[in-house]
Amino acid sequence: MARTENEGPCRRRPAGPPPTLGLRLKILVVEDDPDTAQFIANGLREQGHVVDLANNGRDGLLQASVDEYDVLVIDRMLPGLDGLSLIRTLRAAGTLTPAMLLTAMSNVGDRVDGLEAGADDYLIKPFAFSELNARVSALGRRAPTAAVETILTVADLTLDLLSRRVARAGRQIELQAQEYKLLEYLMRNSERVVTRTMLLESVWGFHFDPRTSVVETHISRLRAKIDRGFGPELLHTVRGSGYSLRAPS
Amino acid sequence: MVQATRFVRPPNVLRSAAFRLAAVYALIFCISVAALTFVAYERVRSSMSRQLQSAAQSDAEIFARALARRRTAGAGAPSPQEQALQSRLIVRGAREPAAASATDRSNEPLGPFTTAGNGFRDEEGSESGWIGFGLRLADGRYVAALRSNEPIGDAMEALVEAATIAALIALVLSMAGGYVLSAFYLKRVDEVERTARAIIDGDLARRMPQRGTGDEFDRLATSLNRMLDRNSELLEGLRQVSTGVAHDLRTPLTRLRHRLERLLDQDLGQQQQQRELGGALSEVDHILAIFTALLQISQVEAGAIRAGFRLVDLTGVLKQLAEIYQPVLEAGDRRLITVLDPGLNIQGDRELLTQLFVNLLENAVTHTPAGTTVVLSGRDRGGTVEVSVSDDGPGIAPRERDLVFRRFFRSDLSRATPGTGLGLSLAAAIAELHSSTIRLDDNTPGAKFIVSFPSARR
Repeated sequence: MARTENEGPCRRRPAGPPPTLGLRLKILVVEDDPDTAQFIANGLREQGHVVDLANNGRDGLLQASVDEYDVLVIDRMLPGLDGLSLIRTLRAAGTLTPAMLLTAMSNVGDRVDGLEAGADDYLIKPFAFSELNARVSALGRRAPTAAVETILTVADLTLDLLSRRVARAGRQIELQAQEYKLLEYLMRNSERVVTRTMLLESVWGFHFDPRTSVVETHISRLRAKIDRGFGPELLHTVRGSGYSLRAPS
Repeated sequence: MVQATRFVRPPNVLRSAAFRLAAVYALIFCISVAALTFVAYERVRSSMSRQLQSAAQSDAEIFARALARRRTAGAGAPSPQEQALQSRLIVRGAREPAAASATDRSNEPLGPFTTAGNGFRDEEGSESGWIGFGLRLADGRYVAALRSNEPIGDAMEALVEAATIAALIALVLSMAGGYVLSAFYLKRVDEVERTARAIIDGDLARRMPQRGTGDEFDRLATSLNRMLDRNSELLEGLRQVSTGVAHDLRTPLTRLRHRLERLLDQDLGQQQQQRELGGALSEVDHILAIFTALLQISQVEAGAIRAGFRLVDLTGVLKQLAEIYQPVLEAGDRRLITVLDPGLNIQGDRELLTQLFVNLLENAVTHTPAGTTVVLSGRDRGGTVEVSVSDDGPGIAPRERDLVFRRFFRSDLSRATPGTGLGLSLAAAIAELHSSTIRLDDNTPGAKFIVSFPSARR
């Protein structure tokens, strides 16, 4: 559910330098509609990624099996072989490349089907490009990290997953349960842009867009606790996209 | 209305189920009459032949006595019975027997016989038709008495005739009864069929006729009418939605069109272009939001999700929602009070239930002024779990209370606030999916939404 209706006029993809720093990903986009495919490919290339295209399920499966990709973006409805079967076949063959499923269907059941088939994320058409971009970046980073971390660190902010303690510059910060969950997610995805929808889905399990400013309220409360009175700001608002927790460069 | 449907083929009584049933019953009756006749026939015949046999036997004995008397003539006058029999005594070429060798020997019965197969013929040359009894007399002579079995034949004939007449009458009566019965049933069925055709032809308000007798046809008509009412409701809902969609999409589409038109204007500055584009994009998003909500409502109403129901810890869900919404309400100078019983469990879909309560909370946030207190409560009412979201805001006018769950309904007060007008409809659809009821009460002052779920059996 990639609607971001509250963000108003400034929600478009910024034309300037990519908000996601560095990290060039090799991405395969399997999409049969040429306009959509071009829209996605151009956008991702502007972000500095390398993008290959396939316009049907069989070619997509072949390319994904032969080449090494960091992220697959797969349309659910494809000629030849549909997106779900494609992912299922890849997973059965042992390919664990993170896959993002694009779909025009928004049923709860469909989302579950997609995730059960082995997709790592799920995006409903039509979506804002910033949403796709943020999610692809998050998937691209998820792949290599296998080590179990117990303390998350961004600059002088630390979060201890075992004792559930948060401190910045050595000073303890008291967080409420929801604030802690929000911060943990932001820290796990630090240096990335996370969108409102990603926060709603991952932190609160909302697979819909509430009308009120749930995300904004919680972000501003968290910001008041971790940024106010400390040095440089860590929690940034990325205009038109979402939020980003990152160390000052 | 198509003219052809006015001339419904007249129902053929002979082909009706009731008539066929009557015919089958008539056949069964005939078979049982035949069986009964057969059994009676056998019984009557054997009992009558036994009677004839014993009559023949006593005749033979009387003959024997008469013969004995004739030999010892003068031993008293013969009894009138003997005289009557003697007149029928046929002694053809019989010699007077010699003196009895053993006078004190008694007569020896030789048992009954029939004439058939014994070379016996009566005056008409018929071989059968007689039942006889033979005696060997003490003096060595034989006496045989015969009785005609004609009465048996007559009786049997009468029996078969009576049975046939009875069967024929039964057949005619049951056919006639079946005809009348099926004509009656056909009439009732025909009424139903005619009504159905009228409805198919577009007279949607027509209902099945009822006679008020409470018979099976009335019950059927009642059920059918309920079904038709339900269908009309759904149809009415659909009509409302179509109108709603048309109206509610027209507004953002019009705005979108205006913005795009303005963008075509070459003189627009860069900044203003950006503003128009941004505005156009949010109009599109608003349209998409309406579509998503509509699709979701129809998906929820289809009910297929029910297959994936699991035990949901409602206390946990509500507790989390309270934690999420407390800051949101506080940010708008409102208060949230949460009253939760522990261990509230229901069968359901966690995501949809979350959305249901979010929609109710959102409704409270959007339609109340600052300073309002919102109460989220989840109580165990023994058998039902009652969740309510209430506020002490301006409330909802009584005449609008039933309308708030309708699609695209916006109260006059809320028309200005942003939204799709579908939030409460979705909430109602989710509640219905969970076999629960949602209602809106007066919180004096304010609004109180109450959802009652059946508790999960553990």
